[in-house]
Amino acid sequence: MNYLFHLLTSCCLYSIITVGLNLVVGMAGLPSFGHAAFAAVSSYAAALTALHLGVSPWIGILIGTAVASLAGAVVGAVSLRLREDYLALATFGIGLLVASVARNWTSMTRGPLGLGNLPTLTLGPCSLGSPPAFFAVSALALLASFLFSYCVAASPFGRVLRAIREDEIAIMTYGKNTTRYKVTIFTVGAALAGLGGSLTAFYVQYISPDTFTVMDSVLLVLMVILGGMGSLGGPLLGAFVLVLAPEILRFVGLPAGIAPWARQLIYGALLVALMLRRPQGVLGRVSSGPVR
Amino acid sequence: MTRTAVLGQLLLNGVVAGGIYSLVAVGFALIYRAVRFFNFAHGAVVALGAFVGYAVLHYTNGGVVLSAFAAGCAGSLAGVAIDRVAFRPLRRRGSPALVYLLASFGSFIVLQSVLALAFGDRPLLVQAASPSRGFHVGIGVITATQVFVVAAAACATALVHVLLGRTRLGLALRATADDTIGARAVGIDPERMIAVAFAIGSFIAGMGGMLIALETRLEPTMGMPLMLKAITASVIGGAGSTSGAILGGMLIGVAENLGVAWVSAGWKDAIAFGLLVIFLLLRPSGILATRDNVRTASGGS
Repeated sequence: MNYLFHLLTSCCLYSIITVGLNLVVGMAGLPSFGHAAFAAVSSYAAALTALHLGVSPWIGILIGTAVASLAGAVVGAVSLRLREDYLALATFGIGLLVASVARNWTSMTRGPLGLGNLPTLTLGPCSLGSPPAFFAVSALALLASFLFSYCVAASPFGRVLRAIREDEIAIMTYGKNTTRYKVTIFTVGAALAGLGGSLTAFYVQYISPDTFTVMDSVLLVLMVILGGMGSLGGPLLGAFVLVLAPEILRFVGLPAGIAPWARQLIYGALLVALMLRRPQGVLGRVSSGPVR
Repeated sequence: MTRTAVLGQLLLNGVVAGGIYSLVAVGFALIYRAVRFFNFAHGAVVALGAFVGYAVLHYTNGGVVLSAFAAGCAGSLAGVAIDRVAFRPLRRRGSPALVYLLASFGSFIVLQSVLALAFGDRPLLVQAASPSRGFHVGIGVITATQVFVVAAAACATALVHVLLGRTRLGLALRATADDTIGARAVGIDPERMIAVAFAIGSFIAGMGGMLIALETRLEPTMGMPLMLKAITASVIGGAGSTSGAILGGMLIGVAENLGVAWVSAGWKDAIAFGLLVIFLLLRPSGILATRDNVRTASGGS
């Protein structure tokens, strides 16, 4: 039973991050291939403040989310001028840089050893560390993130973003500062990644450079695209499918040396097949014209 | 060792690393010129070459040259096959850049996991190469294998230059890269030129993988770090420029190795990727700028 709650919690935590990434990739059409880095930055900020300053994990989550949004704003401000494939590369490069710093700044992050013994979330006298309780917390956080993304999508702000995705120059002629819109949504996406990241830190109570890697950034993009670019339910579908699918492989009983590679093979083949057959994803709609 | 001697040795190590990166980057740049997207699958082709070369070296008595050639051929086949299966249908449809990028990433993951399933994921050593005797060249020690790798990188680049600059095929390749419609108008088949670019670029990658395996070791996952360095080299030098790829490769090879004089070796990657990010932000078209416009409408330039 706890195993089931653990899976559901993982799904929710990933979904929080993909909901944010969907606003960036799906709605605004900005490929971010370094989104896991924001989750990593946030989880380290939350863990370090909780360990060294002794603040409550709730404050840690707030600090982590704030640090991730700040990082998102900085990264967005400097890199969003780039064409989409260069932007993908720049965000990927920043992800690599973050991973490298987490691994090598040993005096701060303890390097590959990671930071352990993180406190768990509490509510008054009750601990929220048990799988069902933490599931409730992460489900609530996911619900809040989802409603937030719904509001963003329905707002005039969201409409302008979708229009920028379709034709940026046309929107510029209407006098809109498109860069500001893009940086804002990038910041929002990073903040949600930060929320998911710091929650993950207090759920697992341990973080290391391997908690959020550059390959996770790619997996997150795959989740968003599989679910459906720009559709609101898509990122949830993608996250749930891609978190749960490997668990089915677990029951097939592949030898330990083979299972991770079989999983990778499936991810890779899925990605190629999706690009060939349905690049807009399962729930995504076909765009009105070729987006180039 | 004195400070100068250490720096000399680090410089030499940097040149060897730069040679390795350049070898991967040259083929990458050749393919980028033809298709205008970052082909991540190139990294897995390097790893494939390493494993095929390893297998040929161990199961036949062909020696290093034959196995490097076999590795190149295997790379070439894989490169063309990936293009046919994953990219050509996308070109027919006129897909946005992101779709190509993801398809190439998917192809990379598929090929890498196939290699891991076929050969196991433990690192292997090429017996023939180790131990290789080192000799002094003024500023430090270099091994015969390292000389071989750098020489091969230089040869590959020279050949690509002659091919692009002095042959009709090269002319057709350049024409397709610069102006696809114009090239088609004078009777060049762009699809054929793209296949040629993949064949040559992936041949160099496969052969390079074999040579890199001589110098280091083989792992199915060896492709990704090399790929990232090759992309970095390519962006720093100027995407799509083969001489830029060499320049960029040497620059990051030397920079990350000289950096070891001041910070610990763990920071090598951070130095390389830091350079990548700095270049992307300040001079995204690279040192030898091409006419490629890499910014969005609102980004100027």
